[in-house]
Order: sequence, then structure tokens, then C-alpha cells
Amino acid sequence: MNEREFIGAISIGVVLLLVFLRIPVGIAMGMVAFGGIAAAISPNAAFGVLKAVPFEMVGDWNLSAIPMFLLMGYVAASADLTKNLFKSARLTLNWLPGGLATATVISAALFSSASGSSLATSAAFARTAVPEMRKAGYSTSLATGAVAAAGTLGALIPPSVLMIVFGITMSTSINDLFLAGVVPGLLSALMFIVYITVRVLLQPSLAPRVTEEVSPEERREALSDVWPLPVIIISVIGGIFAGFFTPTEAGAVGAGMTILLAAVRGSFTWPNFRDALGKTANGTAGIFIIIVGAALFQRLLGFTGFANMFTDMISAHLTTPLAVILAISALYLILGCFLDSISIMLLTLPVIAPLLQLHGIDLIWFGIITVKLLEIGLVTPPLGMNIFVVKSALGDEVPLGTIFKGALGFLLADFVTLALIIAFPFLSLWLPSIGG
Amino acid sequence: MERLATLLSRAMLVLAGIATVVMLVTIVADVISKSAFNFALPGVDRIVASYLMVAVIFLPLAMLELLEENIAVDVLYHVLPTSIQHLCAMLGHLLTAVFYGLLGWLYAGVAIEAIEIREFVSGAWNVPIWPARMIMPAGLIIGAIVALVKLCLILIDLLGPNPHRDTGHHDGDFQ
Repeated sequence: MNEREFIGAISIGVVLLLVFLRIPVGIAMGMVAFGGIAAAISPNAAFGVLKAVPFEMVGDWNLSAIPMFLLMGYVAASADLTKNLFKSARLTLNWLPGGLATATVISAALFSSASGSSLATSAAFARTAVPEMRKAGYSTSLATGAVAAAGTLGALIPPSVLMIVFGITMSTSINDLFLAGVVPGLLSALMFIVYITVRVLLQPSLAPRVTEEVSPEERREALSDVWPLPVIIISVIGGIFAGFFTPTEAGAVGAGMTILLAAVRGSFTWPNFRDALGKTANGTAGIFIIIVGAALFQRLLGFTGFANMFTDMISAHLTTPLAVILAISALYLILGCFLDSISIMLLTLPVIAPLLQLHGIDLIWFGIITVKLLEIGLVTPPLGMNIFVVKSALGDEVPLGTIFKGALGFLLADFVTLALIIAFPFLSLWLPSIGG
Repeated sequence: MERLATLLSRAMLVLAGIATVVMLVTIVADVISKSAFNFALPGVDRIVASYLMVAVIFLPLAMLELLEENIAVDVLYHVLPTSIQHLCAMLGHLLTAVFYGLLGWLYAGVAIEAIEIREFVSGAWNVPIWPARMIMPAGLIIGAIVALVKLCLILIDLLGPNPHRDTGHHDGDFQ
């Protein structure tokens, strides 16, 4: 290892140390990159990179997809577009074993796709679906586990901000990522439903069958209220599939439709909108800082030759693409226990990007695997954020352990899905190949 | 000092919110015009990228710092002793101030150059972008100032007569 490579290696350690001391991730990566380049090359080079990189990134037209999709998500989450979503799913599916849990999975998939936030979805359904399931005699563990797991579906089912960030950082097509996520996202939901059904068939006491007398009017009313979310999601994905929209345009159209539909239904209020705008601006700035930090850090690892050295070193041990994917999966699952999704992605991508290129791994496929892994991290102990969100929404009545126990089965279903996504790349790559 | 920082941050956030709405309307208008009349509004991509997106990214930096909502990792932080937590928080604000300050200073240079030559992007019509060049350094420098204010507040708090006063420091809240 020469001096420059050594500086590269040391800087990774320094970034991790700073991040664990709660220094904002983007700032930590950016400052270490600046210092590292100044030490390894020259202060002038460091200033040059610091000036050039953010400037190039701002010019990326795809970046504007982030505020548009964030806005769509915040408006959708606050505008009560989901009021009867769970109810109509429940009325339609209550004949299935564990039908209420399945209804939760399906309505949470729709909601999380539009809101783009796993945490918001789990919080919302913990308050609405969990009490109904418990009232029907469902085991608390199954009910809370289903809500925590179902919240994660949104990151794979487009639109997804995680995919936009991945696409910008790895210079891959965001539209292709969106389309690639559809089948794995639906597959994940299907696996959850299969798990619920089989589990309840084996152990019927977990979820007593619900016999509900519903008048035709009530059924019609519930169903008539469901259309806004599917309409928005299908318009956005359909527009991308047909090649009508760039990601930014899809985001703007999605946000515009969400606002319009909320206004039509009378659930669009000025304080909510102002709140959504503030969150959107803050969210965009926060994501940009971490993207810029990662881009600067990527330059440092490139300049110092560490990226090449690391790639050579790893490649000596991991000789096939599958081995690389499995190793990265293991790494993400471990990191997922401690860090949040965007941080994991942007801390690791600068290091592993050359490795992926060397092995000719399809970046769209890898993007889907990454997003799936990061979402699994949201329900794994000890720091599954979704679990904590469900816990805090329910308060003291449900112990944390019960929720983790309930999520365990869904985690198994997720591992099956992950294995299928890895084993059969066409699950991800088929839709982008025929769309756009 | 704290009030001024809050006021500035809020004003910048309002501007960023307005930019978000204008961006939404512009892009939707462009999509409608393209699909209905087969006519792309000229200069939309330039205006969105040079003005609106820059405003949405850089103007909220101050508020982000004020609320300490920059994406950060809490895992270890909670188990550290309070004194170390204060040190970490101060280091965080200091590094943020230096990072934003450096970037702000670099882009102030870019802005001055752009103003001198009245920079524009040529296309269907010449979109002047020199005024937009001031948004980046403005957002960054105000962000750096707010970071310094936060740093000072912790220092005042630590050195002040009442050590139990709230530092305005919030744990958690990362996604």
C-alpha cells in the first residue's frame, strides 16, 4: 500500500468514526474527502474538486425528481387519501384465512407506494389496521408484524426516492429502476400474503375468521372511495412505462394529481400543504448534502487509488458476480441493523461501485437488490426503524419483543423474495426491457 | 442571535417552498403543453435546473441546521456520556460551518464572475443565469452562520450559570 492508498484507507475509518459520533453523514464524507484530497494530492486539487462536484450535481436534471416525489408523498400522507383503503380491502378479503392481515398488506403497499415512506406507512397502519385486527381477535404479534413489514413495500414499488438517489449516484436510468422495482415489489407483497395464509391455516387461533354483515351500500361506498391512490400510482408508472415522462415529469405529474385529488375530496388544507412544502424543501436539501458528500468521497477514493486497490483485493477472494452480490448482501444486512437506508447506500456505493463494474454486474438489477436489502434492514433487530415506529404509534400496550417476533415470519418471506430476485435477474429486468 | 437565525432560516425556507411550487407548476405546464400541443415550453429545463432546483437545495440548508435534521446516525450517540455528546454536537456544527463556509466562499467567487460577464445559457432564448448564481453562496453562507450560532449556543450553555438549560438540541428524528 503506498502513501496515497493509505490516506484513502484511513479516510474511510475517519468517516465511520465521525458518522458514529453523529456528525451529519454528508458533512462527514465531504469534509474528509476535502482533507484527504488536500493531503494526498494538493490543497489546490481539493479546492478544485470541492468547487466542481456540487456544481456538476446541481446541473443534473434528474435531481429535481426528488422534491417532486417528496412533495407527492407528503401531500398523500397528510391528505387522508387512504381513509377507506383498508376498509374496502378488509370487506373484499375477509373470507381469506388471515384476511385482515392480507388486507393490511395490500392497502399498505398502495399507500407506501404513493407516500414513498416506509415509516409513515407503518405509523399510519399501526393506528388504523392494528386496532381492527386486535378487535377481531387476531394475535397482536401477527397484526403488528404485518404492519411493520408491509410498510417496507413502498421502496420497491415505484415511485421511490431511494431509487432516485441510487440512480443519480450510480448514473443509471431512474425510469428503468422504477420499472424494475414493480415485479419484485409485487412479489414481496405476494410472499407476505402467502406467509399469512399458510401461517393462519396451520394455526387458525392466530386469526379467527371474521364474519361481517355488510350491506351492499356500505360495500359500494367503501369501494367508491378507493380509486384516488391507484389512479395516481398507475398514471405515474404507466407514463414512465410508455416513455411519456422523465422521472422529474412523472414526479411533478404525480404531485399535481395528488394535490388535485386531495382538493376534489376536500381534504387539501393550507396548513397541511405548507407543512408538506417545508418538509419537501428540508428533505431535498438533506438528501442533496449526503449525495454531494458521497460524490466527493468517491473522488477521494478514486484519486488515491484506494478504490482500485480495494477492488483488486476483494476480487482475489470473490471471483464470481454471485459471490460479490452475496457478500454485499451480507454487509447491507449487518449495516441495516445500525444505520438508516440512505446513509448505508451512500456510505458504501463509492467503495463498491468499481467492484460492480469489474464484474459486469447489471446496475439496475443491483439497485433493486440494494433497495430490497435496505428495506429488510427496517424490520431487523436491534434497530428496525419500522418496528419502533409501530411501537411508538401503539404506546405501552404492546411490548417491542412482540412486534419483532411477529415480524420474524415476514422477514423469512422477505429472504425468500430476496433469493428469488438474486437468482432470477429477469424478475427485475423484464419490465424495463419492454417499457420506456 | 437565536431569533435572528430562526428568522433567516424561516425566510429562506419560505423561498424554497415557493420555488418548489413554481417548479411543480412549470413542469406540469410543460408536460401538458408537450402532450396537448406538441410544443415544449422553451427554457424550462434551464430554469428548473439553474434557478428553482438550486433554490430548493441550498435555501433550506439554514433551517436544516437549525432543526438539526441533517441525515445523521444516532446508534452510538445515545450511549455516550453527556459531556462527549456536547463535544460531538459542537464538532458537528463546526464541521458543518466549515463545509458550508468553504463551499459558499468558492461559489461566491463563481457568482461574482457570472455577474461581471452577465452569464446566460443560449438556447431557444438566452436564459440569463447570473442572478441564479447568487442563490448557492447565499444559502451556503447563511447555513454556515446558523451552524456557528448553534455552536455558540452550546458553548454559552455550557459556560453559562445554569447548566441545566435546554440546549435546543434534539436527539433522534432521522429517517
